[in-house]
Amino acid sequence: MTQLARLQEWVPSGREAVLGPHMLALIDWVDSKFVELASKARAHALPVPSLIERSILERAGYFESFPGSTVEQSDGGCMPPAVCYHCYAKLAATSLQEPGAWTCVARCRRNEDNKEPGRLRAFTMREIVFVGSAAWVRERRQEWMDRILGFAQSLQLAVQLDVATDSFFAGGEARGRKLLQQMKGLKFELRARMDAEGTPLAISSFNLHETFFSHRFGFRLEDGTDANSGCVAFGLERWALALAVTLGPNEAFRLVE
Amino acid sequence: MSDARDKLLNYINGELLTDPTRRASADTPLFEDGWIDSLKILKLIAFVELMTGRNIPDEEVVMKNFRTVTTIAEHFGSKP
Repeated sequence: MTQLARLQEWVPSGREAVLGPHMLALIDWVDSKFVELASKARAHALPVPSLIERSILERAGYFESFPGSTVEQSDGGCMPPAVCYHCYAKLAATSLQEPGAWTCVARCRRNEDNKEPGRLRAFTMREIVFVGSAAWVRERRQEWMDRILGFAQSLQLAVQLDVATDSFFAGGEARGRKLLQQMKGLKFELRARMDAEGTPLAISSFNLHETFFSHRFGFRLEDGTDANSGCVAFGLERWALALAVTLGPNEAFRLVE
Repeated sequence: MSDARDKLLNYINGELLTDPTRRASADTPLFEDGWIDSLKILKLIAFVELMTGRNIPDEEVVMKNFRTVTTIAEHFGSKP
């Protein structure tokens, strides 16, 4: 990371970072690969606005799930803490004729109390959301874990998949949610090894929501059963950072050519 | 172990499960089909802690130890 700072490609600035042109191009490149994979998996591209209405976050239970977390508001809405909330709002009160997948990307912002290098307050997140029966969603998640693990390894990243929980769950009932998440394997993270000491950086997560969002937003399957949902999230700056640190800036930036 | 299992079954069926149509047996998977939610898991852990007299760290709250009443009793009932 020192080398990236010297090259003016990743210059830490408080809890954010100023990125240079090569890093920005690498982010676009890695995102284009995820778009290709999503397209092959027949995910529908879902354009989303840069802000999200607070009422959507409330309906999604965001403030209950992550008590103490704040979102930045402006005139038109809030900076989204994750991009997939747009998708559940889009599906609200619908009946799906068949299982489906959607992909969207947006700048997100979280005020996490985590000083891990690469964990920025403002970042770009691409997500792929899938909605269907419980078994179908679980199968899609497994496929995506296999696919992205293989993709990361093809880029020479040293990665592993681990059961995870959301690190910013607080106490009270939120502890119960965290324990359920852990117990049922609802969240996996793909973590890249960033140095010789093995410092990990989570670059993607693979999540099952069961019927949490379909109950909140009222979307069902055509046969009347509850829809399950799941998502895959890619932290694009983290992917680019992991590539630049692991391969070295020169080799990483050549990927774009 | 059967003492721990009976205590757990009594607690789960008598206190934890509010839906009268649901009754757990010793081998009912507790974490499928929404039997145990995020509040009930905390109550269940508190009951097991009370029963065993020891704190249960989050790391021990895994499916291997909590899948059914039998597995809870086997894992925690035999430990001091």
